[in-house]
Amino acid sequence: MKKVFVCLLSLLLVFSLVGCSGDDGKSNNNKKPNQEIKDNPDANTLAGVNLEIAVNFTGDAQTAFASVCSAFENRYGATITIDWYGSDHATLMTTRMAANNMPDIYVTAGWSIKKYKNYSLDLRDEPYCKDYTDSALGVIQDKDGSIYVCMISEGINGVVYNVNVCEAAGVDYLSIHTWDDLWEACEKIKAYGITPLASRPNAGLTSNAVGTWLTYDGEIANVADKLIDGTWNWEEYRYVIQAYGKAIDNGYFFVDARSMNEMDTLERLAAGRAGIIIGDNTASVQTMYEMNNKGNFAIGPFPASTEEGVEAITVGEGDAFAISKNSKNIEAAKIFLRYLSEEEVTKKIISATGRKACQQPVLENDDTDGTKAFLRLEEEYKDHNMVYKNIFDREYLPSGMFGVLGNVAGKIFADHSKKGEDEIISYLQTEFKRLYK
Amino acid sequence: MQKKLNRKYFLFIVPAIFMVVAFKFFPIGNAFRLCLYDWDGFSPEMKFTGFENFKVLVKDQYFWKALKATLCYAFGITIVKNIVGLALGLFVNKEFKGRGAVRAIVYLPIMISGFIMGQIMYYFYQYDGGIFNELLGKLGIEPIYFMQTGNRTILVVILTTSILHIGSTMLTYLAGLQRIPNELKESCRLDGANKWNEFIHITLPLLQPSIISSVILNLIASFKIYDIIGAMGAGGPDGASSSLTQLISKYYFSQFRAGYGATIAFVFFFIIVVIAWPINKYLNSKKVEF
Repeated sequence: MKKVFVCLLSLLLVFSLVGCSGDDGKSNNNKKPNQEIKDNPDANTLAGVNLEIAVNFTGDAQTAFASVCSAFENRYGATITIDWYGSDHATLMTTRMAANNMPDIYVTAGWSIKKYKNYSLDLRDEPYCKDYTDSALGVIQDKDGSIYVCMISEGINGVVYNVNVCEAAGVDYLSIHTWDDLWEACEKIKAYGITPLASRPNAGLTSNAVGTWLTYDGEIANVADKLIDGTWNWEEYRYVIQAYGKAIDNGYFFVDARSMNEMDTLERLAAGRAGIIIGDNTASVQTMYEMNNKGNFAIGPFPASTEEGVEAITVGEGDAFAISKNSKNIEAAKIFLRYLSEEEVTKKIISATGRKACQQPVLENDDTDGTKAFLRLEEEYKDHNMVYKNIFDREYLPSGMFGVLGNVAGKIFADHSKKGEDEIISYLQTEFKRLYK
Repeated sequence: MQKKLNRKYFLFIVPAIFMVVAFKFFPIGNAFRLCLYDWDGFSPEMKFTGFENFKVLVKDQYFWKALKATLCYAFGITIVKNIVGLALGLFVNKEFKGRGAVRAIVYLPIMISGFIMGQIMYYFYQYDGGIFNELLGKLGIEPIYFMQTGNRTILVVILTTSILHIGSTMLTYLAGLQRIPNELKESCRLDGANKWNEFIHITLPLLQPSIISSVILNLIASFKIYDIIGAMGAGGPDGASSSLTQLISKYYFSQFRAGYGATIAFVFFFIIVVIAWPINKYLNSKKVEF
């Protein structure tokens, strides 16, 4: 009996190893050329080419990307090796950059200019570049006009609302113009018996959301120039610390906000256990619809800090792909990116990532949840004094400050007394000075 | 002739020397080189800053928080695992029905990745809807916020990690226990010793080789704890439960401060050596030959 058990266990192990070795990322190595390949004029360029693509997709996005790659192989006869780096993408790409061993194509995950531009090919003459929306160009176009990525979607950041909860609590989320209006809405939701905010301490609160306190005309402060020339002393950041400190003291956040993870945040809003998330995006709206398809979720801008101020949506890189300057397959890689920017292909990917399309022809015909959330925003807020801005840290801060502001969120939750406030300002001054150098 | 023979033997150890140099000394040397630069981890340009990174480290509150947490993890996990592991080793060394099953069950969690185990345990410890608090609620007890403070989170991580890896410690002690000759125990009993005396005067001294390897291996492994913390709250609140390995990764890869991350790694290496070496020396001095 024991021997039989051992044999079965060994067989199971062997099969599992075989199973593991089966998927090395190459999906179509030994296929014979089909009619579609024979008819395709680009097939000669791609004959015998193997493209290596490093991506951060997981879950549905991974499935969608694998499927479009497989269709590309069938159409052009090339093979594709996909490096599924997932949440380790930034880490592994940093290592590959240091080793000067870049894949042919890679996702830039928000850093096409600041981090990857020295390694990436300028794609400004590619046909899809003329289709970018202005907001997309504002994010991916360098000062000299270079564009280093084929971007098929944008990340739209703002405040996410559970509309049903807001309505039940007597909150009209469209009437929120200033931060004070938002805190008032929180008070109403709390009085209704629900925790107002599902946010947790992260840079979504302390970096993405702070532009309307600090950098636009008509706001309580405008230190944009000082931020850019590195002379700001961060004193005005006290507005942010005090506002969140008060929100914590008023019980607007969950008791366990400090140890919540991203899924907790989304689950609680989707389940109607909270009304608002500050500093989230259209992809989260899509995820919440997957969690609760009877829900009603909307994204709105970050509120202004004064009555005269502007409400702001921040826009960041969404799904964006760059080609390595040192790739031996540059022409093939360009063909792949043109393929990705085709309407049907783009729609397939962004329907899985939940982000909003950023090329005009796709945007006009797109009905994915991410784009729908954005179109709803455009429609509902058309009479608001609302602006689209680049993500705060990418526009104004040196590399590394996003992480520092993430730490600051933790510090505010840990101690927002006067002493804590002074420590945070001192910490920000030191880190900004160091990173600005 | 003897010289020729020595040279021949030396050739046999050349591959091992090569491996040690390539995979130990070279990375350590390179880490020290990085400590002297301000480098983002990917740019071709590196700015030489001398010992500036070491000066920054002394003033870095997150380094001191992480060092404190790491020491707690290292000693806490080592103590819990060795005490409970020894108890389990003694238990499964006895003859009883289902002994094999007990061994397998205790060993099983080690096959689950630390990250997954951390995720699972996170749903046990969660304040809002966590399994432990659901059970407490059924008993009419108020929910406990297990991860409210750094110290509580450290305690939760120590317990979780210990449960996860207790199987390997149990096996180490089990192997040690099975090496102890029965004659020694029998003669001890004939001299009138009770179970406790037998354990203190025979079992424990003769288990010394197992204790040494288990303590040192657990200590070093616990110093390097990483994945479970990430899955159970990412080192919060405000870095109070972050380990040094997590901090190194955060600085190196997320904040693009590779030179500074390498500085912490380099200092951390010496901390492990300074702590593990004397413990190893002390335990070796207590070794009993039999």
